[in-house]
Amino acid sequence: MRHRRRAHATVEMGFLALLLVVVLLGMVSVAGIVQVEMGLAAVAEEAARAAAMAPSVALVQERGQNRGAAVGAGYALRNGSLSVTVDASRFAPGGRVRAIAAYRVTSADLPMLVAGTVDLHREHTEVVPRFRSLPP
Amino acid sequence: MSTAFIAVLLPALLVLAGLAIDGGQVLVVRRETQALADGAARAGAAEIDEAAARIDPSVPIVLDPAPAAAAATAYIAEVAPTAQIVVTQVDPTHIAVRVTSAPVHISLLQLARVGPTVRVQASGTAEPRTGITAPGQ
Repeated sequence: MRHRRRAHATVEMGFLALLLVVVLLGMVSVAGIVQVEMGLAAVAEEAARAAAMAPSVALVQERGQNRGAAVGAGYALRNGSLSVTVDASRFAPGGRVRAIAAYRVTSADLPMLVAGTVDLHREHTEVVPRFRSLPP
Repeated sequence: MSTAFIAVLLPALLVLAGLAIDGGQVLVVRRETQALADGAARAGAAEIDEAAARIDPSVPIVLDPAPAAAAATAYIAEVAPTAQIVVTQVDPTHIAVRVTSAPVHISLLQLARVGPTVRVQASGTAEPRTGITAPGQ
């Protein structure tokens, strides 16, 4: 009777330990993805801001992408999948620019993602200042 | 003994997982709402008083309060229609806004009597400046 009870307790403790590990790994994964999402939001905002400050429409993409890459590096978005695209179709004084930051989370970022990937993206729209006189 | 242990620990684990999932989601929405508030404030601060600047270009530029508030409100209506904006202060020197996010749905944290939805608020302030050539100035 005592032997059976001890076996029962061992199985339950094994189940509990497994559950604990799964929950902890899941929490670490979620935290990692949240960190990437926060980074992407910052990348999109800063890229849109830099693009809105570009002196000409020809430099909008370049300014936005350079700024986005710099901010992304600061948030450890370094697996090479970070992309920043800037919609400059409404670039004009008083107009809008929209930056979209995308990133693929892989096992290089989160070892728990053994084979899968998670695609994330964030965007931000910025008003182009109406009164500007910037050097080219 | 183990069964009792599980019965106590399981809800705690679920709440902990909820803290990670729902808390993480709220953090992300908080970051986005802050970006919206900052963008709205900047949109408002772009509405300078042209007439005053033309009369005497040597004086510091100032905001035109009514168009500034309208520009900040229009920005949120355009880029985040589900969010709400309140212009908390606007005068010739600066504009301050408070943006409230759309409801964020809470899942596991409802076990801890949080939710079923929460809203996130963020504030932004901006002032008209001259001589800005790059972000961060």
